[in-house]
Amino acid sequence: MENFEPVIIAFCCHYCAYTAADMAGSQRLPYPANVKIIRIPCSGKVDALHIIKAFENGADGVYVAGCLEGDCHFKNGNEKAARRITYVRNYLEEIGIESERLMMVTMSAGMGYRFAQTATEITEKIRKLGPSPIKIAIAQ
Amino acid sequence: MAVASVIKAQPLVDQTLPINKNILVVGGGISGMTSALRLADQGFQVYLAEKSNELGGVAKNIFKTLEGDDVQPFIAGLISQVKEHEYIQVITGAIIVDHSGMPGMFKTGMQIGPQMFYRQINHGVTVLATGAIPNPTKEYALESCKAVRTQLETHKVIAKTPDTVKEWDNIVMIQCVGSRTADNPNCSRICCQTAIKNALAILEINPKARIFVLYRDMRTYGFQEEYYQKAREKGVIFVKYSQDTPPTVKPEGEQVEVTFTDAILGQKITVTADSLCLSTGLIADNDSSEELAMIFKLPRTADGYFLEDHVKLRPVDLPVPGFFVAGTAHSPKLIKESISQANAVAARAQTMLARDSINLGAAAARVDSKLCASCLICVRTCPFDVPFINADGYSEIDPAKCHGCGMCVSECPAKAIQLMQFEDDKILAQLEEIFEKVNA
Amino acid sequence: MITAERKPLDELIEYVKPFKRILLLGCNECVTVCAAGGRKEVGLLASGLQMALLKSGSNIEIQQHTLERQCDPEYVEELVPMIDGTEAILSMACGCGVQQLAMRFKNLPVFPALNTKFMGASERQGVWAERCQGCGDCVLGITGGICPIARCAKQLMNGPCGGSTTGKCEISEDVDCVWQLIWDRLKSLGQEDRYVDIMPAKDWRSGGGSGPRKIIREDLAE
Ligand SMILES: Cc1cc2nc3c(=O)[nH]c(=O)nc-3n(C[C@H](O)[C@H](O)[C@H](O)COP(=O)(O)OP(=O)(O)OC[C@H]3O[C@@H](n4cnc5c(N)ncnc54)[C@H](O)[C@@H]3O)c2cc1C
Ligand code: SF4
Ligand code: SF4
Repeated sequence: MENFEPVIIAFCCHYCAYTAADMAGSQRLPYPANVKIIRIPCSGKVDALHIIKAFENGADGVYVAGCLEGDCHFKNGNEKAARRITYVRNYLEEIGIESERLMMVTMSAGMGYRFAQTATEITEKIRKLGPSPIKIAIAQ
Repeated sequence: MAVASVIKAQPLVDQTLPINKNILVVGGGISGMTSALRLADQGFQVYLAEKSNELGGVAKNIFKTLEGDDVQPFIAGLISQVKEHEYIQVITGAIIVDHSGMPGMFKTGMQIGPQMFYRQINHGVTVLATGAIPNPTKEYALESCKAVRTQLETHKVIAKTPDTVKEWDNIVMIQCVGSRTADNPNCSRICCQTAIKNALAILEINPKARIFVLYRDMRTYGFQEEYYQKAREKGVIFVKYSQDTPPTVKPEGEQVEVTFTDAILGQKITVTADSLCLSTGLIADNDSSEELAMIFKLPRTADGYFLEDHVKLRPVDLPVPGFFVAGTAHSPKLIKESISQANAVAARAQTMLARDSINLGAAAARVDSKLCASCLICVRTCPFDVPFINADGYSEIDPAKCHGCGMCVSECPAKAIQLMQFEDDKILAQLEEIFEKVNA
Repeated sequence: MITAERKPLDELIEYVKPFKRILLLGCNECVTVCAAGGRKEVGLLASGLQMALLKSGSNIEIQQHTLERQCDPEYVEELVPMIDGTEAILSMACGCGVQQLAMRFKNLPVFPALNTKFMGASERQGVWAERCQGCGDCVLGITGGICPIARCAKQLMNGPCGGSTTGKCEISEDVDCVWQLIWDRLKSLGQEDRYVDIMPAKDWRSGGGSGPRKIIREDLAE
């Protein structure tokens, strides 16, 4: 696992984070290629099963990016997502995966800068944590 | 990744709803009035809601454009056409307070006038044209020294009291005041050409005047460049300054001393100016746009402008079907650009209004009754109360009412619901593809 | 309905560790409704087990399936064609389902993935509360429709104990004193006099006190 490049899955809500990613692109703000985006209509659509599947496939980190508090396009999807993330984090600990590898972040559609910054910070954080124990186990 | 998901794609059925053909235009500046007129001319009923007590917006303070066109007669013409139009109802003193409904059939409530009486309007199309405001910066002794003015104020002096201009020997203009800074990273777009416009007008009245334009970059884009050249030919002196060493200003009685570094001479130069004109640009009206964004559930840029659905593919559409944006509510613009966008909005809106139903795309949730456990979890979780347990005892989702958020999908313990376009197998295929690439 | 909760992963790993191939079996009835053992939870548990085992160096094949109901033999019969090669079944049903499987597949180890909790009702999304203990001789008709057996820690039948304060039970401030609830309800029904009737000592035989219970409908039973 030398030259470790983390693989991070970002489930991005269409109305905020995904647009913010677009914005980061049009503002020419670079962010690490480690972050792979999967678009969902609302962060409330993120399925616990898909998060777990991402880890099972070898993801080193996963984050769900939704709208700012009170700004959800569908009323309260981001709040539901936040509760689900807490639930799945506990499950990850049970499995033996550090719960810090799963995060919920929020941003508005205009925050291209925040998107790029969050992606960079999370990549650095996961880089420090090292490869996920599952990835190590798969490699063996 | 995307391909992996496309492989799993299934044919989708578009959802349609009947559309109410009334239009609500919010904001009665040049943009709002232009869109309203275009749409009303096509025979659609337009409600034009303006917050202040009169129509016209910011452009009421602008007398001439760079090209020399008279703005005031144009606005007066627009206002009277709008007011007299049989299909336009102007509502001044209107504050939007609530909003509900579905695409194609919106209800927007407003409080009107000093009595704040409530009125609700049913409409299928909404145009946001709430504009932007002059940047209220106080830099460079703007408030304390009489010789310091904004370009807008300078423009007024030129138009109304040209005799004052005859007495100015030295004029300094500072560009990018309060624009392209950490607080407001935007270029205000209008100020470079405004400076050129005012400089040329000053020289017209007072050919002996010496004009210095202190700039960071001159952004007279397009054919504005010709006027920039003309200004240079007429002797306007352009001096570049850097953001780290901005000019300094010291009031001296009726005048003002402006000190700046000339990059070519490498020296500090002080000019005693009779008028210092600050190009203060414009900023989003944050209070207004934040409130409207909350009420209408619309996204904004980090600096408070309404954010279009796609910069290139849907430049005047907002993400909610039936919502459009025109003018400086969207980004800084010249009058003619605001008018172009207002026309574009009218054209886009007509593509919707020409039909009797509105297409809502295909992202609706669908229940597989063979899998449903009738647990009610979807019924309880849906933010719009769409799912219900039908006479057969299974959950049913009316695709025309479903907003497509997918919350029921992610909570259904029986995995009985799929959101069209975002089906599980498509998301899982994306995941697998990512790792196939990475692990290869 | 019957409510349940998933057992801790560690316990489940101990069960399945010795096997190379297991069937993880969900149930589309009560445990789906209380989000403990439906298709979704089957998927989550399969992935979780897989990862936890992978970490400890072992590999196991987990086949996932969910039956309409595990407590009926006909549904269980559906498993027969798919059970070839399966070394053990981990059932996400309540205890009834687990036992039904054990009865049917004599040579297969069957393990419970859930702790079956109680007969409960859903208070709101995501919250289930105990309401009935199946005493076999329902008293709800006398107690204003509120059960003192399931909802009183001491199963008192004739009014509250001395620990009832401001309507709450002495075991926790979050638990209503059921006798307070019963009193309030009788009052709003105008049946306060019911409260003074003394309930005779309860015959617990019907509640399982005399061994396993069975219901036989003569007309239906073959
Ligand atoms: C300082 C400055 C200088 C400029 N100089 C030039 C120039 O020299 N040449 C040029 O071509 N262009 C210039 N412009 C740009 C020009 O003014 C704009 O392009 C044009 O006025 C935009 O029109 P609009 O209708 O989009 O917005 P506005 O004119 O701002 O009108 C918006 C209207 O919406 C109303 N409103 C706001 N919020 C609400 C609400 N919540 N509900 C209801 N109504 C609301 C406002 O009261 C206002 O009437 C300048 C702009 C500024 C600020
Ligand atoms: S959540 Fe799923 S199982 Fe429950 S009623 Fe809705 S569709 Fe049926
Ligand atoms: S997708 Fe969203 S709007 Fe549609 S039924 Fe499900 S929860 Fe309701």
